[in-house]
Parts: sequence; structure tokens; C-alpha cells
Amino acid sequence: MHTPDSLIDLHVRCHRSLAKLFRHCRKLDNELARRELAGFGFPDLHSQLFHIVDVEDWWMGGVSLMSRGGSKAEDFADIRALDSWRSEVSQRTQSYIERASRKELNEKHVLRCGGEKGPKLVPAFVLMHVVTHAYHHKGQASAMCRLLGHPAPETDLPMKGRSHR
Amino acid sequence: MQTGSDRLPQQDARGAHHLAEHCRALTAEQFLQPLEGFGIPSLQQQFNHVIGAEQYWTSVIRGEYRHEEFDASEDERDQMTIEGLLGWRSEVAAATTAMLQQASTDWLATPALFMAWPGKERELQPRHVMMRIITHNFQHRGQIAAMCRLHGHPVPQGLDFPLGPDPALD
Repeated sequence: MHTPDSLIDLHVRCHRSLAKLFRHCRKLDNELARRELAGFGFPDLHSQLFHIVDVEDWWMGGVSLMSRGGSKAEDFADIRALDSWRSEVSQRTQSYIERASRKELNEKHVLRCGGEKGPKLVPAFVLMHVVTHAYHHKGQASAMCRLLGHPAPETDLPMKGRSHR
Repeated sequence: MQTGSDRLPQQDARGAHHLAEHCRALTAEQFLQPLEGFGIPSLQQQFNHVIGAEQYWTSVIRGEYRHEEFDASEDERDQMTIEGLLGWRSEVAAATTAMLQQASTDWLATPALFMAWPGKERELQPRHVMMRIITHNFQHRGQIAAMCRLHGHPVPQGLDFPLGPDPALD
């Protein structure tokens, strides 16, 4: 059984890692941020970071029945714009978890993704998927930063600080 | 008793195992080859790092970490081949699972002082350590996936964290 408090704590810490990486990436100019690199399914840093936020927007919008998703990478001029969007999406996710009951978070219900009826899933699992997915692509974004000559700082999940709530 | 996020390692065990199995198709040269752009430069070192990190952090919260006895270079396990690493991964994962099966919710959620590298006590909440292990695993899994692609052997779909509970664990 996942608790709202433990999910919020995990989500907040995940976004502390992401915020640190995005802040670092904001220092790269658009030419570097959009330079295609071999070996990555999302071939440039901008699209890699876009994908992290887009997946959270899609799944957590689906879970909260707010039907988010459908943004396009080209809607965001630079990494600063992506970082603002990341912050908005994070806030929406957190608001949803704060509103949801423990029961709702742990029971299957039908999602509404991109305006369509989606699969029947457990919200807590969807959040776990979103968080681990973010780290998967954060690892790739870190490798990209190194290839672009701007190695990222350490952005592992922070363990310091009291639990949230 | 376990709560939600503390079961992450078990829920994800299948994906971690499949990724290592996927790498069996690579040659030994590919597995050991350093690639530009990765702080941990080869697939072998990536797997070694992830398994070693889980072993280290779980030893810390079990209270078994002894700095004066810690010397990774003295570990005689086969850490160079995928076969050896799969065996080590299974051992470490089994120990983590056993620890979590014994763990109480209170213990997981209560900050306490634990001996850690470099021989200093740190205040840690075991639940945060478990979250750190699994997210660290995914961070490097992303890099392993990129490395596999560079070696011409992209990973298949389905290695993400599952979107539903594994019935075998309930």
C-alpha cells in the first residue's frame, strides 16, 4: 500500500534532482541543446528533457482525469521554457496526490489520457513509472551534457532533509 | 511489513534482469569497451557500479558497513563477465529483498545514524536510501540503453518500471 505522504516525498525529491539538472542545462545555448548526438533515442538534449516532462504530463494528467498531454517539443523555445513547464507539471502532480485519498491512489481506475479513455491502472504505480522513467532519461541527459563538454553535477535522488508533509 | 515504494526493487527485478540478459548478445570486447561521454565508460563498469551501489547502501542501513574492512578491490567475485555480474546481482537483490521482508514501516520511515563511507556516521532514513538505490539504478539503466544502441544492439521495449503490480508479489 502506497501512502500519499511517501508518494509526495518521492515526487518532491525526484524534482529536486530534475531541477538541478535543468538549471545546469539552461547554461547551454540553443545550438548545443539541439545538437544531435548518436546513440540516443531522443537525439538532442532539448528533446530528451522535453520527453521527461511530457511523460509526466501525459500519465499524471491521465490519472488525475485532467487530460493533459499533447504538447510538442517545438512549443518550447529553449531549456528555460522547458524548466518552467517542468515546474508547472510537477505542481499539478503534487496537487493531485494531495487531493487523492490513500484508497484512490492504490486502486485501479480508468485513466483519461490526451482526451481519450485510457487504460485502467493504479495511480501509485503510474507515479512510480513516471519517477523511474525520469531517472532513466536523466541518465541519458547527463551523458549528453558530458558529450557536449558541459558535464552535469551530481543529481542523484537527494536523501537530506525531512520527509515532506 | 513493507509499504509501497519500499517494494520497488522487487517490482522492478524483472526489468533489471532482462536488461542484463539483453547484454549477453554483445561480444566481450563490446561489453568492456570504454565509450566517450559516459562518466562510467563501459557496460561492464556500469553494471558493476549499479550492483556495488546497492550492496553498499543496503549494508549501510543494515548496520553492516565497516569502513576499515571495506576494500572493493579485494572482492574476488567475477565482476568482468555478464555471467559473473548476473550472479552477483542476484545475490545482492536477494539480500535486499530479505532485508525488506523483515523491515517494519517504522524502521523504514525513521531517521537514524548509520556508519557510512568514509567511516562517518550519517543520519539517514532507510526509505530514502531504498528510493536512492532504485532511482540510481534507473539513471544508469538509461546510460546502459544508450550504450547498447551505440553497440548496434538497442534494448527492446518493456524494460520500464511496470505500470501495474506484479501479481507474484501479492
